[in-house]
Amino acid sequence: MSSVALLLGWVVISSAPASPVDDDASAATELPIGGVAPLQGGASAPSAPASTIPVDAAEPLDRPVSSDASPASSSIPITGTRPLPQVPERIEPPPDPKSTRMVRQDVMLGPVWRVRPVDTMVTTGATLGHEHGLSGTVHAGMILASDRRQVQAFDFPFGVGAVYRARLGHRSVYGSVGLTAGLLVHRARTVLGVTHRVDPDLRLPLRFDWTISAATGLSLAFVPGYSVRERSYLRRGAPVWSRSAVRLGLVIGLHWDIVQRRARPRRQVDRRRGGER
Amino acid sequence: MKQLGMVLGAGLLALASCEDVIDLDPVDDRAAVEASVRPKPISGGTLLVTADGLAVAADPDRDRVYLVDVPERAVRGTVILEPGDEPGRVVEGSEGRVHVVLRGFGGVATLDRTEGTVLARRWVCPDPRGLAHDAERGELLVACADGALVHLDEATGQERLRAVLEPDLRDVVLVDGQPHVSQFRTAKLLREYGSPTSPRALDDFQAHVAWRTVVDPESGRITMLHQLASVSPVPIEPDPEDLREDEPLPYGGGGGFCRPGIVSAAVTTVDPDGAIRTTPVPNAALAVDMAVSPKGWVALALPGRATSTVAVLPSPEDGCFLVSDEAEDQGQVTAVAFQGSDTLVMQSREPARILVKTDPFGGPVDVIELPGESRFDTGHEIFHRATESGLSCASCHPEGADDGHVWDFIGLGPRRTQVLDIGIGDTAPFHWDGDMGDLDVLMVEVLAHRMGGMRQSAERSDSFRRWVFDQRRPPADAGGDDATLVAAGEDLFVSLDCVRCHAGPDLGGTMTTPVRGQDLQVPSLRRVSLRPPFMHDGRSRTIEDAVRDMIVSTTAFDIEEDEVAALSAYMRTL
Ligand code: HEC
Ligand code: HEC
Repeated sequence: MSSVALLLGWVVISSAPASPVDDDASAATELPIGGVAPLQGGASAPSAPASTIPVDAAEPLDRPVSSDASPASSSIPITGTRPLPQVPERIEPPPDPKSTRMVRQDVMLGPVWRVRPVDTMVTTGATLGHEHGLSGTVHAGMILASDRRQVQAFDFPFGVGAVYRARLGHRSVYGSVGLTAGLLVHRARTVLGVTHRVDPDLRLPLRFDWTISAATGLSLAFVPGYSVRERSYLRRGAPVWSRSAVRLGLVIGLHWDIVQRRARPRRQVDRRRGGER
Repeated sequence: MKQLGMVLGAGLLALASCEDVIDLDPVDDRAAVEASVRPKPISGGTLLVTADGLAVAADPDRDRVYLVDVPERAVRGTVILEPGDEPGRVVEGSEGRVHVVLRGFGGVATLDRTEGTVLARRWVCPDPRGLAHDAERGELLVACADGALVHLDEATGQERLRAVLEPDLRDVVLVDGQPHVSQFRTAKLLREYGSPTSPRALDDFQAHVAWRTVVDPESGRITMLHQLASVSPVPIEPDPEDLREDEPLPYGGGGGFCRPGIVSAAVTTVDPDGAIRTTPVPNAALAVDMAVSPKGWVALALPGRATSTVAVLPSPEDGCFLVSDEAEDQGQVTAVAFQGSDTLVMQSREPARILVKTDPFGGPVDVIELPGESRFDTGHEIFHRATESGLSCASCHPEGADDGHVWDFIGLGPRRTQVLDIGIGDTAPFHWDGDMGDLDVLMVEVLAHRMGGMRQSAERSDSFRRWVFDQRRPPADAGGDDATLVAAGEDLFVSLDCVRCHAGPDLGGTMTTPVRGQDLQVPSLRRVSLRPPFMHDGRSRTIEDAVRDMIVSTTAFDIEEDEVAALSAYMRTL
């Protein structure tokens, strides 16, 4: 009774006005207005070309960069208070994850244990909020029950909630924990016809994201779920299909980030390009 | 705050224990139909066809006898009997007489076959079943359920002899002028003098329920239609893994090609030289009557089946016989007979019809409608129609009684089938352990779960319950015991305080009590002598054994054989 689950989702993160992110070389010619880039603090070295700064590793811009700043800055040599002789044109300030907003998509696959039977799950979702810290999230999915002899069942969990994201060690690894509440719609075809049942549903997704390139990454998530009612189908008094109210999904997949920035008065084009990522 | 916490906690607990169960067993919610006179359980074998083609069909549901001209396909007359007469077996007598057993009345009616009139009615015994005509001696032989074999003078109706054989007699046949009597539950063939024979035991099966026994006057071969019941351990709960498949699942597993399920029909022949041969008919469901043609064809009446309620075996010789499903259904056939060597005549209970087939293995069916109102009845239908498992209630409770079998139910242990025709309405909870709170629980557990039948709507369950609770046969008293001995037994029954448990009008059925360390429903003792072996596990073979067992297990007294004899005599009058 084992199968894999596929998780497909989006995490929506858009740039906040106060925290522009610019990892695009052409966009770095001008300092962001609200970015208060601590140029005198030597935000970044020339050896860290802006174009390679991953979104996940964005620097906080609203405070002076120091050695005890966000771990994301660890890959960028810090030059203390020594003033930079000049600001390289292509260097841009690292983004602040706490205030960075973006759009992320992902596809993930893995098993979901529903106490004993293992079913297949696909989920899709959207998260709106900050790259680091609290965000809102929405998800919807489908669980395809494995044993389809007497009961051909699909479960459709969906819900809204919050996730808290934080960087874990390496700057390209983020972890998040969330809680969502919603409904689980159970739909099954049996000898009786098509049956529908709706239960409250809670999920506690625990998720790890690896950024591979600027916009894409790998995700692994444990998704415990609880849909309140245990469900079973009987034939001649014996359960021929049953699912516990508790389930544990293990999904692995890809995600895409779509980063949106504050509009720039003179470089409209760049925003579009950024949005395409 | 504390209160809120408690409320929240309770709510969470309630949620955690929440379960939503969907029962996939279909519910039969067709409207319940109750006949104006509710029909009795089927006992079958109510048809005689004379050599010149007169079919005499007794109709226990309508208390009538129909006279039908088979060659002409016409009803000649209808003899209306008294309500509750319940006519059964029919034999041809001498001088244009036809004799019919009246089970409900407790006797025999003699009819004039040309006039269609009742010439005489004679009381014989409380529950007469079998009937034979001995032309040589001018005698009628009546076999009674209580064990009496009564010889009557055919012309005068005078009783010539009343022999008390063993209880539960069914059919009586004459071989060389010697009566052979079948015993219903044990499927034994008794001779008035001599030792009994019984169908050859098949591996893992025991013969029971001798529905019909006939003899071929030429060869002296006796043919018996009976049942086979499994002696292997029977799983009462179907295996969930098997249920996940879409195949129909028999009760207790087993079954299959030429492999009888836990209950199966079988035809056994006993030749004069003693050779015995048994042919199982695994998919017959319920087979209640049989006729053997001069060519050796064997026709079976199968009223439990939805289609093909008749089957014809070319010969009962080899292997097993499987009923084909092709034949269209012309009614619920409960009796069969051959006219001459080829023509098969069938009696349908509902709708009341005579069906005629000149080619029993094919060909068209001629339908002769019989007058009389419908006796379609939901209770009767549920009881007799086979479920997905190939079993009906009547498979184990033939005639609304019991099959005399001790089942080996896995998880329960040995369980003798309980009797239902003694008025069980006030005896809930049911089953030996009392594990079925009421009949509705039993219907779900036994009919739907164990047997794979449909769940019944509340209306249909109600109707069924009334029908089952209505079934009550009279006390069985063969009159073989001395009246003073019986009276002494009755006194002992009180003085030994048997009434402490065997209380109420039916001497039991009112309480659960520990006997030999096991909590058991106290059985009603009505008609008890008819149903050996006794006790829930069948440990007492005779009524005397049962009485000894009771004295030892429920009183502080020693066994006195004269008391055992008296108590047993009393038991035989209940
Ligand atoms: C396989 C054989 C079998 C079949 C089929 C069967 N029964 Fe029984 N019946 C039994 C046995 C054996 C018992 C005693 C069971 C026990 O004590 O656990 C019993 C007991 C009962 C009792 C309890 C009687 C009492 O006095 O407590 C009732 C009522 C009953 N059966 C009704 C039915 C009905 C109605 C059906 C059909 C839906 C049915 N049975 C089908 C074998 C059978
Ligand atoms: C303590 C209550 C109790 C007393 C007293 C009692 N019985 Fe019973 N009797 C039962 C029970 C319970 C059974 C079923 C036992 C079993 O199946 O193992 C039973 C079974 C029987 C049976 C077999 C019934 C059947 O259908 O198989 C007979 C006969 C019988 N008793 C007669 C008597 C007589 C005679 C006495 C008085 C000497 C007596 N009983 C006293 C409780 C009692």
